[in-house]
Amino acid sequence: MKIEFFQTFTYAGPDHGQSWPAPPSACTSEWAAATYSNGLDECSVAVDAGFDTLTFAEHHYSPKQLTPNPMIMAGIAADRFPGQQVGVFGTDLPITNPVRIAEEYAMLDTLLGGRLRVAMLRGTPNEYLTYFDNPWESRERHEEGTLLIKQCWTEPEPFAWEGRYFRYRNVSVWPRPCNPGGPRVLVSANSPDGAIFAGRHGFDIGFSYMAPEACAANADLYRSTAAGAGWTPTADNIQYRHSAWVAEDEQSAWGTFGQYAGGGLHALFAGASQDTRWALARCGMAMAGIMRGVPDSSGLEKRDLGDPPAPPLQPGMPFVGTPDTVIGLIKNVAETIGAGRVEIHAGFSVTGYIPTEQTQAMVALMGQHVVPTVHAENW
Amino acid sequence: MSENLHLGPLDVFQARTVAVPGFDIIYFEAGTGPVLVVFPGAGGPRLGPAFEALAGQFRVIMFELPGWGMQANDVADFDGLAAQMSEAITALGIDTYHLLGTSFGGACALHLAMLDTDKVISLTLESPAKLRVDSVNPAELPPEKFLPAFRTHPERGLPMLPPDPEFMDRVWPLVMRLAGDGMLDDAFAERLSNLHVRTLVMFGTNDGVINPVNGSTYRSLMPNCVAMKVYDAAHEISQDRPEAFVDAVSDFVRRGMNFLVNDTDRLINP
Repeated sequence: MKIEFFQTFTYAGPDHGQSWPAPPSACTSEWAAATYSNGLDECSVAVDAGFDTLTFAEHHYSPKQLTPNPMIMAGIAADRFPGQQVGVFGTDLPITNPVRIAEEYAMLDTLLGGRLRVAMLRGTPNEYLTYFDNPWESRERHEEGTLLIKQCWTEPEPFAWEGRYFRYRNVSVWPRPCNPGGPRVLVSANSPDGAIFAGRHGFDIGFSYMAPEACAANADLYRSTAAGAGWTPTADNIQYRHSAWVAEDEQSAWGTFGQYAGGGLHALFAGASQDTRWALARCGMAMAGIMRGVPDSSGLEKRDLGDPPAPPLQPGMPFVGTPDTVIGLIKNVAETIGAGRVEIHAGFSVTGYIPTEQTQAMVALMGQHVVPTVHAENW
Repeated sequence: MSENLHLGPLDVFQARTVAVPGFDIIYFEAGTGPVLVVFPGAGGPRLGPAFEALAGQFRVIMFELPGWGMQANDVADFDGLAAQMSEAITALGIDTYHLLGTSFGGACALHLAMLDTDKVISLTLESPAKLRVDSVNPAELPPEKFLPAFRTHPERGLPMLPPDPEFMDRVWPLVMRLAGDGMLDDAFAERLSNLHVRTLVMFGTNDGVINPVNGSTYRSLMPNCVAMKVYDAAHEISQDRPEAFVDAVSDFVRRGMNFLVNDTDRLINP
């Protein structure tokens, strides 16, 4: 089994803004630079601790993750840590230009000499408020865009693309990727649609934050769809992401984790007005396939909207506790889902920045106990 | 109604009057649907293509503020002016409504939203004149700077004519008295931070009257506010870029903060 280190680059400064999106005035360039510097130092510790891959992700308008373009960080990390596998998990594909993404990943794959894996994701609901994109089209744009990118990486001659959502009359991507067919592509299987799409087209799948038991059905769907398409995924094709905090005793681990995790995913948007949180919820509903004509509860005449519904995510237990506890949790993921890759990020920084010294010590501790065991076991 | 206000043609709007204590207030009405109350800028009512288009979607009621006609207004401050306008709106039998204010009218609209919190559904402020850090008094602009301060595209919308001296003599003292120094004090900052009505603040990127940086102040203080910069428009956004103005305002009035969510179909072909 492989274990991967997801570096989120949470803003190191003291002011994370009190609203959503966080106002740029809360950000200073000094703290932002420290964020990247500290984050790369944590990556260095992770490399020394034996983590198999350094991974980065695209998120916007937030101090929680300072990587609106994770490819830049992937390039820097790849240069700083020669030989290290790098993952970009991933790109918010429906809000981007897929041909441009194909070009950038082709560059990165070439520069990394084949050390790159990537994910084509739909993004979280808030990302649809980034560039004013239609969340109802999320799934279809994601699927068409992903297949278009594969075409960009494999088509030997210039081509035109007449899609449902994308139209290009002249595509000819240079450089060709280092890997024939381009880097391995992962898509999210948090929804059955994603599991089926990945199985049908030979992609890896990833789960994030969901309870392993809730992921298992989609993993089975992935394997059965792949079988129908004539191929057999292995555990290495299945990845599971969650946050982690390891300490010598349970109380210390949960104490630190809880100090920064706050109210969980929902708390990331606590500073937004009720109106804005309804708009976010509307994006989430759109991504879940609720038709745009279905009335929501945010009628304009209603003065008090009440709180929007929570996302229908069944969260899993984070990897928090002693090394033995965390090893047990990872084993459960492997056995329940059949995942051969577990991707962790250090803590869940909702309420603020975890001092880098603490994070580095925690990652080093994982390197002493958790990482070697995960590598050695064959669950 | 003074003759030197650049109202524009009245082929869509009907001029009417509503009586409140001390004033017969003129208003211009067109359209059906949700009520959109409009307060004009210090120059008085300006109709034109943007408001005609809005009247295709809403019941638009643009008032001439009391004191802009031939009856003098000795009101002391914006709260007083807002109270007068609240009476006028109530006198029309309107219960809840969307509110749009332009420049000086935006300042009045802001105060009315603070007064009638249970009636104002949404608030749109076009180049609002309440906060005026690093801004200019248009009456002090030299002639060569007057037009570009207000309009990037004078060829669009209603013509921008120089101010009429008689009108300025009659109205401008009232404007200056109510507008104050345009600076933000702690008490007003507190009032803004307690105003939860969904609000759209619009500034043209070329506004030469009120510095668009003031939009950030509204955004930072108001808890339910979007600050929009309208590219290639000066102070009179609705005349400079009427189509863009109508798109943004109508989307916001119809959908509130759901206008953050793009529901435009981008399917090329099925």
